Amino acid sequence: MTASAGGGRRGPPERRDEALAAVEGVVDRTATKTPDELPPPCCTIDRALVSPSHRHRVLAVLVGVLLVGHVVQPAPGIEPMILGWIPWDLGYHLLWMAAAAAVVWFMTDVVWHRDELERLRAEDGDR
Amino acid sequence: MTAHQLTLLCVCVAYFLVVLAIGAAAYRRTGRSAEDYFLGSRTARTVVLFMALFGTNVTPFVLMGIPGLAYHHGVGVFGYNAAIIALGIPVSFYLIGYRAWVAARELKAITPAELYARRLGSDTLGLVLFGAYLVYTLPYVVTSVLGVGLAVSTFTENAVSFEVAAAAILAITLVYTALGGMRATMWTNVFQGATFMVVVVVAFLMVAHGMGGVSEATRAVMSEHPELLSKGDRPIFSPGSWASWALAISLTVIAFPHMMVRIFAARDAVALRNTCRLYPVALVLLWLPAVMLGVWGAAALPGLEGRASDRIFPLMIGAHCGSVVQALALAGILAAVMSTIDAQFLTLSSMLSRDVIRRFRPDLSEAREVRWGRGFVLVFAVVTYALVVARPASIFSIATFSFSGYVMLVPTLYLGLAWRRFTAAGALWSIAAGNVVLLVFMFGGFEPPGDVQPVAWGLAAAIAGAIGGSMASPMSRQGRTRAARTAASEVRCTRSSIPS
Repeated sequence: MTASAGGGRRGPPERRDEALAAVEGVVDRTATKTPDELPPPCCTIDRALVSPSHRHRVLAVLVGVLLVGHVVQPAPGIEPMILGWIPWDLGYHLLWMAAAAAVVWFMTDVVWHRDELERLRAEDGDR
Repeated sequence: MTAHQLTLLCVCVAYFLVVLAIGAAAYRRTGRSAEDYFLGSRTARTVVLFMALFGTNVTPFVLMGIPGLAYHHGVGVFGYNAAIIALGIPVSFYLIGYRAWVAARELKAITPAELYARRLGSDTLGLVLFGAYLVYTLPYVVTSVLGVGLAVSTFTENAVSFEVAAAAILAITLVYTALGGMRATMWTNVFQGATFMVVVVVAFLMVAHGMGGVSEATRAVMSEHPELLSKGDRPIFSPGSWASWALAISLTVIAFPHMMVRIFAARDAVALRNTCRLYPVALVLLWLPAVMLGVWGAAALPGLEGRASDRIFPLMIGAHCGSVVQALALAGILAAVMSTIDAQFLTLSSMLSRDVIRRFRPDLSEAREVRWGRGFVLVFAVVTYALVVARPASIFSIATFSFSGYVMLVPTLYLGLAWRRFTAAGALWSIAAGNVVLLVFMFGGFEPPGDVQPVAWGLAAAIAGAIGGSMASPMSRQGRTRAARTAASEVRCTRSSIPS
C-alpha cells in the first residue's frame, strides 16, 4: 500500500484539521512508508522495536550507557596522542560523539519515525 | 585608515549588505498575519530549519567564550560542553520539541508561553513563563553583543570602540528583524551559519599552519602547559560538576524560547528529524577548532588573566592570519551574534505582543499585533545596549546564569506535554521552586551540597514542585479531555502495534 493510498483510505485531506493535513502531506510527498507498508519484523530485535514501549526502552538504555560513558571516562590522560595531535581526553570524547551520533540516528530513523506514523494512525482513529 | 582596517571595513560592509539584501527579500514575502511574521507560516524545511536552529544556538559563547575557557582549562572543555550536547540536544528535540511542535499546530500557538498557557488553561502561567524567559534571555543577548564588541575592538586594535561596535550590530539586526520577522531571520541564518562555520574551519587551518602544523602546535602546548592536554583534577571537571553541567547544557537548549519557536516553524517532522541527525556533525566542525584554538593560544600567547582570555580567538587569528582572514573571522563572529540576537529579539517581542498585550487588548488586530512586535524589537535592542555598556561579568559567567535559569523551565516544558496529570499549579510551583533554589545557591552565598553545581539542586526542586503542585491541585478540564483522548489512542496504538 502506498502512502497516498493510505491517505485515501483515511479520507480526503479537506476533512482533516490543518495539523494532520500538514503532516500527512509530508508522508505523501516523501513517500514515507505508512505503518501498513513497513516490512514485517525480520528478527527478534526488529520485532521488539515494533512495540512503542520496547523501542523506547532500547533508546533509554542506549542513552543511559552513553551518559555513564560521558561521566566515567576510562584511563583519562594525554596519551595516546591520536593522529599525533589529539590528546586522549579529547579523542575519547570525539569517539563518544560518534557513538552519540549513531544513537541519534537510531532515535530519528526508528523510534521517532515509528512514533510519528503511529501518531498519524491514532489521530486518524480519533476521527 | 590603514590598509588592514580598510580590508576589515570592506569585508564587514559586504557582509552587512548581503544580510540586509536577504532581509529585504524576506520582507517582500512576509504577509501581515501574526503567524507569517512570527513563524514564517511554519514552512521551514530541513536546510533552513537546521541552519536557523544551529545558527541561533551558536553565539560568541562558542566562538569567544569557549576558546577563552579552553585557554585556562584545556581540552577537557570539549567534553565538558560539546560532546554531551551532541546527544542532549537531539534527545530533547525528540522528547520535548517534537511534542511541542505537534501541540503548537493543534492549538495554533505561536509562542512557547502561549502554547503552555492554552494547553494547561492558565493565562497566569503564560505571563510567568514570559517573565522567566525575559529574565534569562536578556543576559544571554548581552553575552552575544559583548562578544562582538570584544572581537571588533580586538581586530581593529581599538580603532572601532566596543560601544560603537555593539551599537552598529544592534542597529543592523534591528532593521532586518523588525521588518522581515521570522522569514528574514531564518533566511539570514542560513547565510550566517554557513559564514561562521567556514570561517572557524579556515581560521583553525590557518592558525595551525602558522604554528607549524597541528602536531607542532600541540607539542608547543605539551612543552609549555602539558596540564591543558588532559582534564586533570580541576574542580570544574570533578565528577559532580561535570555531570551537573552536562545536565544544564543538554537541557537548556530546548528551553531557549527562541529555539522552541524555530521548532514551531518546522514544516514537518521530517525536517525536525533531519536537523537532529545533522547536529552532532556540525558540533564537531565548530567546537573542535574553537577548543583547540584556545588551548594552542595558551602556549602561543601566554599571560591572559581571567576574562581577558575571551579575546584569545581574535588574538590567535590576528597573530597568524592576514587581513583578509581576519576580516572574514570578524564577519563570522558578527554572523554568530546576529543569527542569535535576531531570533531572541523576535521571540521576546512575539511573546510580549501575544502573551501580554493581547491579554489586555483581546480585540487587537493581527496587523496591529505585528506593529507592536516591531516596536518591541526596538525596545529590546535599546535595553540590551544599556546592559552591554555596563559589562557586568565574563561571557562564560553570564551564560552560566542564563543556561541554569532556562533549565528550571524544563520540567514544565516536558511534563506539560507528556504528563496528563500535570496542571498549571504544578507548573507555577515548579518554576518558583526551581528558581528560588537556583538563585539561593548562585547568589545567596550557600555552597550546594554534593559537589554539584546549583543547577542540579534547582532542577531537583523544579521537578519536586511540578509533581507536588500537580498532585495537590485538581486536574484541569483540558487535562481530563486529553487523558480520555490519549487513553483511546493508546488502545488503538497498542492493538495496531502487535505483530502478526
